[in-house]
Amino acid sequence: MTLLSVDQSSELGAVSRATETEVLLAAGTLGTALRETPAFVRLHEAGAGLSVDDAAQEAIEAFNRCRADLQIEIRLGTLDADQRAEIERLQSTMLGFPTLAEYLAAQAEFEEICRETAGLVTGEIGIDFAANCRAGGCCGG
Amino acid sequence: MLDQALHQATLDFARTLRHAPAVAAYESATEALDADPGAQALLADMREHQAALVRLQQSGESPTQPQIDAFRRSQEAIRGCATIMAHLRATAEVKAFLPVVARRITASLGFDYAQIVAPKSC
Repeated sequence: MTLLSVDQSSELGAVSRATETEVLLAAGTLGTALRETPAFVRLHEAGAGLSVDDAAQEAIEAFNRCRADLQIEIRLGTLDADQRAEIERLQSTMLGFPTLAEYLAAQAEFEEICRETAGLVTGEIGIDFAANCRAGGCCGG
Repeated sequence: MLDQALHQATLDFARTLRHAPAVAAYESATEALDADPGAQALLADMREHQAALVRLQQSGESPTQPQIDAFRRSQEAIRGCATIMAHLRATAEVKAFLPVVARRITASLGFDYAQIVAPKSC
């Protein structure tokens, strides 16, 4: 192993820190660029529209309550016909609200754009960026 | 499809990220590992032992002591291989670094970027 002088190792450390700082700055710039996309604006507006639609909010809450009440049966796959019908009814009611449909469509569009950016990053760095973005990322690069 | 501005911002970010010490070290360690036939042989041997143990487990059988000993020897050989250990360390470092970077995107975006892009199976 080659021993570096204090000056050399300090310099390398400084370069490393500078590069990591540049990466974090570039990451912030990417986040800003994503915020400026039409898809994000659409998502933001759809979210605002959904948040003031009281009827849609009630339908969402009813569906979520039902799922929470039946979470064990759902997890075990032991829903009976009535329970399944009730969940489907509530889900159908919920999805019938244009504000929610728009929000879900906007969300899907924005998520696809984010996944495309992650794919582009993966192509450049040779590591699965999407799979390793979270602490404890599960997949190899 | 990404618009031009977002495409460029993504490429700029990715190219900067590629030069981060953790990413560069990972790339270098991967190249070293790929070019080391001895290390590749050790990894292949380890995978073979692991596969044999899994087959035994799935068939409800227990491994024999010689099989266990052989697996442990392959593990020790892996630990004694500098190229493999360097790759493991580089992998751990880059996997610790990327979430930090993703959190910065999240902070700027206002949405959990990592959650959005993570594969659903994970």
